[in-house]
Amino acid sequence: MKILYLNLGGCNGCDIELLAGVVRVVEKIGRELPSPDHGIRSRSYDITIVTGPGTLGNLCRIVRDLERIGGEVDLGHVIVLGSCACGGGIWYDSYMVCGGWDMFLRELISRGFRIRYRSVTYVTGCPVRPEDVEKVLVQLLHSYPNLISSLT
Amino acid sequence: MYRQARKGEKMVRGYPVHDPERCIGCGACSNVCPTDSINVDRKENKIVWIHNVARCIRCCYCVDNCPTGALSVGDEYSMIADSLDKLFIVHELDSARCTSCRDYVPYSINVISYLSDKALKVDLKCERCRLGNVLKVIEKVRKL
Ligand code: SF4
Ligand code: SF4
Repeated sequence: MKILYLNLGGCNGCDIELLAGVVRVVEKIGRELPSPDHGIRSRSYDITIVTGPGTLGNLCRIVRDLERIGGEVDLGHVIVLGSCACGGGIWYDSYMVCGGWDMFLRELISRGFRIRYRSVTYVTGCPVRPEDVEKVLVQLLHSYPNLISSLT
Repeated sequence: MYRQARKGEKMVRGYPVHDPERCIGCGACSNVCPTDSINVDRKENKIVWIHNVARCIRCCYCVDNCPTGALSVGDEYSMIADSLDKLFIVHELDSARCTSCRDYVPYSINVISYLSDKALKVDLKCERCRLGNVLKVIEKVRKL
């Protein structure tokens, strides 16, 4: 299983809660999750976890990554964590900020990149609760058993 | 909110819960919200109170600033959905009417009971009628 973890300029609040949530998931399913990629290095992923409001600096980084791999990526199941990633949070109208994952995706698609994903789940809260991260990840892993079976 | 928290009433600061039976549609909550996640839309004959929970950061400034107590700190913190459209809370309130010309005023119908609860003797008038009164007074003064 390949996991992509994108911090699009978040404050690390959601990232810490994500860590706490992942520890709970590992305890629950009894298997270790693979360490994630922090930038797009491969053409297909099973799970993508997004935090942060989507700053333009990160947009440049992701655009560079996408150009390197040929402009086409399958993100798999996208989990959008936190108020910032869901709708921009307190930065929704700041300069240098796209304003959430949807807007970020729109920026990427308008630049001609082909981005596919299977599902999106929005988890709100500032920051998100570890219980919610656990709930969403465990639900995802149980509804797609081939994801668990690919774990060692 | 902080008053509630200090008393130990709330352990979890959930997203604000809106009571459409008490809201007067004043828009104080939408003015103080740091993320602009509350919108009070004044349509012709109704007021639409919209809360975008996706963007709300659970700071509860809106609860502190609501004059009627229509908003309260909720117990529910998490909201998970597979589409952003499901993260909106929308309440429609009927607008109150002007006492003299029966036109709609930019407050909801709950404003009448709110004013009577506060024992305020305010005649609910639309802008045109209020302006009309002022113009009459000005004319009187001019004639003197
Ligand atoms: S009465 Fe309270 S909830 Fe209603 S618009 Fe005013 S501040 Fe907002
Ligand atoms: S809790 Fe804070 S962010 Fe949420 S609606 Fe109220 S003022 Fe806005």
